[in-house]
Amino acid sequence: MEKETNMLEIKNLTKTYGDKKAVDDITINIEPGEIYGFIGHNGAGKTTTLKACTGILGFDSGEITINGTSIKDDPLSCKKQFAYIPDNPDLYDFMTGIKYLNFIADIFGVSSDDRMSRIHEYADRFEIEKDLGQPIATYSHGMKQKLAIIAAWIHEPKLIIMDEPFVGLDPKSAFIVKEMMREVCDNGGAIFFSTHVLEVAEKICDKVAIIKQGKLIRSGTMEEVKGDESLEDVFLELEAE
Amino acid sequence: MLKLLVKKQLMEIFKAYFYDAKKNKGRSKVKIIIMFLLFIVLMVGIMGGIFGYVADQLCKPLVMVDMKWFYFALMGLLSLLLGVFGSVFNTYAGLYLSKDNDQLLSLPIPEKYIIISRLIAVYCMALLYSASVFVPAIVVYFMTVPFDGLALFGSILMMILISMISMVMSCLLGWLVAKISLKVKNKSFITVVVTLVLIAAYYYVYFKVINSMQEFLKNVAIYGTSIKKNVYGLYMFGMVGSGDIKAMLLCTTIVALASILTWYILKQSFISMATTSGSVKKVEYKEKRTKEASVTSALLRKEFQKFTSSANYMLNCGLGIIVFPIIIVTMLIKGTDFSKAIAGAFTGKTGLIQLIIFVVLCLTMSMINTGAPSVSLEGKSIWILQSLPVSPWTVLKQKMKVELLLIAVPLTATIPVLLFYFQTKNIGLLIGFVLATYSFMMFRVLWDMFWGVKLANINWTNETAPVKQGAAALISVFSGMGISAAAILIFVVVGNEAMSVEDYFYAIIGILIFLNILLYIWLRRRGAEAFARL
Repeated sequence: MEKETNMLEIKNLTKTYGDKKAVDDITINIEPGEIYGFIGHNGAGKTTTLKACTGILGFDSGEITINGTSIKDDPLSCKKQFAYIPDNPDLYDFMTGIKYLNFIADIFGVSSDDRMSRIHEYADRFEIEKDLGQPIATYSHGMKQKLAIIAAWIHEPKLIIMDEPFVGLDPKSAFIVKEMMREVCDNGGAIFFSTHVLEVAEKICDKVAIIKQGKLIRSGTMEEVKGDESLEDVFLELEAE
Repeated sequence: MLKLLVKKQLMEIFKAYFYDAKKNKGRSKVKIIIMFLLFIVLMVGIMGGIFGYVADQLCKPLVMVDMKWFYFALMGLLSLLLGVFGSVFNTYAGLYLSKDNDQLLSLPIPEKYIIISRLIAVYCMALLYSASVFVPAIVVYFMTVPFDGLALFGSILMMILISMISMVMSCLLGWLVAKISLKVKNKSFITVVVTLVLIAAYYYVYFKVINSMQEFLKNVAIYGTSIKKNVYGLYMFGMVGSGDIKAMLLCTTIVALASILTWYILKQSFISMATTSGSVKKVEYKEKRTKEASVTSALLRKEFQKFTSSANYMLNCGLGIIVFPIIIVTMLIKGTDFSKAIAGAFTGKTGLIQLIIFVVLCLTMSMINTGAPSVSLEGKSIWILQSLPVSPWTVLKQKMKVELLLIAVPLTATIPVLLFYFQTKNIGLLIGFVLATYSFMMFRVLWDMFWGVKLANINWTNETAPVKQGAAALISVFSGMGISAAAILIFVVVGNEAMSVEDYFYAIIGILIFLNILLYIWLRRRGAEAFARL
């Protein structure tokens, strides 16, 4: 039987800033249907890894493939398959919410009907539909985050890469995002996200990786990583080592 | 604390000189020196050369008839014209619209320090522009007359006073625009209109003064001893430069009083203006079907939305758009008179008139430079374009297309009008003129984008930094003026004897096409790569 292609494959990734190794020989595989959590303290190398996966940041060695395609060799076809949400979504303040969503939909070639129904569905779930006519400059941090999430979901990507997606969201919206993440995976997609909220990671992740000073110190299924302990205990023990 | 704030403001202006965004690290000392040397060459070499030439033409004849004050008054007014131009369009945004307003106001920093640090940034821009006229004027003056310590002090003081006047006028206008924009809904366009109306009023008065000076010059014999009575203000203004103590005291006092008044007005209203967003109409979204657009259309639309959403961007990088219609209207009204007057003045060589028109069009095109700050203006939202499935080259092309369209449309409407009034039967000359004009248009677009990518700075807290004060924007503006003026100076100095205007046009076309190809190749390869790694 032919082996299924990984949705995201990070192989021996290394990225340095001057003399400092921000990411050191990391290998992660994410398969379709998986929610993969990426945990580490501030400055551990999470954002660098995520940015390298999206092609925003170059890297020194290793390989990153999305659905079998290398991000270095063919960034455009990779980018068509995923969506990225950064930790602080600085969107186009000069656009209204709806203009921004239409801009993203145009870039991904989403049809009029599809974009209309998806915008309606997600904006309704996040209860921001009425605000879509307002300039983004007037949005709160949480509203920008919701808009960034809708924009990411608008073209139904197979892979969603998120950096701290729950920051700034109210509990109800955070719950909706978790639901949406699970729906993506149930439909054969995958999620790769970083978080500091260990309870959330423990609750929703199928697999998890812990990064410390640029090195992957533990990864695998939730059971493999934490055993009988809580994820928080395991994380703190590993951090203390 | 004030020192820190001023340092922050100045670092924002000169960041590209110290920091390489592409490599994400500071530049080496050698590179910093080279960058500053290039800037000095641009300022001293090109701008200094142009205004030095103007000063040289005026100085000797006026000094000989003992009208030093008139020389300083003329150069002072020219300096003031440029000083106000350099600072006026960005003062509103520079003073009130910084992204770090909330952060600074929440820190234990006296409010006056925040205002002073921003005023210093406005002053620096005014000084930069006005000094580019007045420093050559001083140099030429002391090359013409024997050295006089008091006159040197007076001329330096005059330069400082001119930049202070520029700052005061810019600040008062910025304050007025801020007041009005708080009460209106369509802020960007209203701000643009209000600013332009006020600027038009300023330049109307300015040119009235220039006219009265010309009138005075024509009738200097009649005016005789009554000079002081007729143009006393200007007389005193000019006398500062020649080292007259009474004039220095009087003008310094007036400028100081105006500065204090401006300070008082700004201080009274700073917090309320910097923290109020003004009237915002709540628009409730009604679901409706949207027509799909191609990737390039979506990107182009986004660039136009960015341009039209910012009064600061429109005023500083799109001023030429309104100059073209002004040329058309002026020609339609006074075209016959103009063509007769210019034809009478330039009878020496065939095609000289077309060369002058070419330079006027080049200068006007140089007032549209949306491409230069467009990369920096992506700011912290650059991750969007970098993570979307669009090639960096496609993004750069759409940015250039905005500038191309903004120039090409009014330019194409202006050329036939100009050619109608300045007719020539020489077809070769005509084709040369048209091709040279469009080659320059392409050059401007590619040149602006080259600097926009090369000196990109996406970490700014005030939009004024990339739009007006940033290295890319400054180089774009000054090089545009410099290259345009050089086109005619080179012909006058070198080409006049050696070749016809027609041949000169074809030489220009050749050089521009060559440069355009080089810039295109660089942007397509290295420029796109640099954009992707910002």
